[in-house]
Formats: sequence, structure tokens, C-alpha cells
Amino acid sequence: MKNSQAYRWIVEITAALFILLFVYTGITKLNDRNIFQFVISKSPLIGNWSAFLSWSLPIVELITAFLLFLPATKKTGLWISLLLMIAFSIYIGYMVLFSPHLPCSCGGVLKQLTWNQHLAFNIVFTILAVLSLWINKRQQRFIAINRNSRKPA
Amino acid sequence: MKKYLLGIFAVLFAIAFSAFTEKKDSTKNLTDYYWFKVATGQGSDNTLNNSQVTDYLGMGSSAPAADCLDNGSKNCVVGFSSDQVEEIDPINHIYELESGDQTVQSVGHTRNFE
Repeated sequence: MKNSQAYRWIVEITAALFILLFVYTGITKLNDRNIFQFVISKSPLIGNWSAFLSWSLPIVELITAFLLFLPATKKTGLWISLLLMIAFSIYIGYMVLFSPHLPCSCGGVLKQLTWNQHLAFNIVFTILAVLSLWINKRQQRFIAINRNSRKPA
Repeated sequence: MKKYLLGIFAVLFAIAFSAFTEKKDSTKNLTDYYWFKVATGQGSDNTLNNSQVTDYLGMGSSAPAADCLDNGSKNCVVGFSSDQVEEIDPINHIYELESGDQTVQSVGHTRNFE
């Protein structure tokens, strides 16, 4: 029982951390949208989509934060968070290897991180998302087993 | 309500934090610089022209992160004031130095090679 509660807290705290991250970066990216678009446009990988990404990325982040906020859609929010973190990590990995001289297109204080620091930051969040989804699946299986094993009086 | 408490705190904290960093930046508008990466071989010069800088990195009170190890005394990322630059692309807000030599106003990052 205690384990189950601890696991639930891990999922809740992970969701809260993602909400904090996505709301913060979403708002700062929208506030500095012109600068964000300019920095993306310098990237050899996604430069051609800078106009589209400068709007869509922060909006997706804010929608994901909303999905994480509601208990009914938390699992969906975690899946989207995981996909976003994987996509961001691949992009950062590419920048570290091929264009380390370009500035980071991150929101807010995250742009003060170097590329390597940002990659480490993203990997940690990716691991948190994977862990939370695994715990969530385990909890649901536990509930299903208990429900099926109950015999009528 | 308990289910939403952690999420509410996260949202409020994120909004407060983003407002705080926005406010902090806006009070330093008078000392915002336009940051450029110094070309190889120009790290000792305190006056630079367009051919001696490579990328325009952005505008702000502090230099954006760049591929500089900050381990030496040679200039790697330098900042210029608004009267030393001209906007060559108003849509994407890209700047270059005004013609002639411009005196470096601020050093953002350093490197240990020329």
C-alpha cells in the first residue's frame, strides 16, 4: 500500500514538474516570439519551418500542460511530454554535433544553459516521463487484477 | 480539489517565474547589447567591422550561450550598442554592424585562442 502511494506521488510530482516547465517555456516563447523565430531560422535542421514552429511549439507546450493538469488526461499529457522531450533531445543532440556555435532556442532562463547542459536536462525529464508512464501502467494493472479477483459475496 | 493542488501551484509558480524574468529583462533595456560572434583571428581587437564578426546572436542585456569556453582573455562573443548596428532584415530582426570600425561595448564570452 505504502509503495503504491509513493508511486502515485512520483507520477504527480513528475506531472507538476512538466506543467511548470511547459507553462514557463510556453509563455516566455510566446512573449519573445520574434527572437525565438529568429534563432530557429538559423538552425540548419528546422530553419525553414521557423514561422510555423514559433507559434505551434509554445501552443503545444501549453496544451500539454493543460492535459497534465486534469486527472482524466494526465496519461495522455505524459505521453505527449515524453514525445516532446525525445524530439527536443534529438534536436539538441544534432546541434551539439553539427552547430554548437548557434544559440539555444530555449525559453526563458534555459537559454543560459550550454547545449550539453540542456541535453542533460532533457534526458532527466525524459527519464522522469518514462518512469511515470511505467508506474501508471503498473498501477492500472494492479487495479485490474484486484477488480478481477474479487468474488461476489 | 486536492487532485489539482500540485498542478495549480506549478502553474502559478511558472507564471510568476516567467513574469519575474520578463520584468528583470525590461528594467535593463537601456543596457541591451547586440551580440556578435567574433571571427577567428580577431579575438584581440577592441574595434571590429562586419568582416571581423560572423554570426549575429541576438539582443539582450547578457550574451546568449555560444560555443565559447570562457577560459581565456580573447574575445569570443562581443556586444555593441543600438547606434552601432543596423537592421538588415526587419522581418526576422537580423542586424549587422554599421560601416566602419565599431568599438566593442561589452564582452559576453571569451576563449583562449586568437
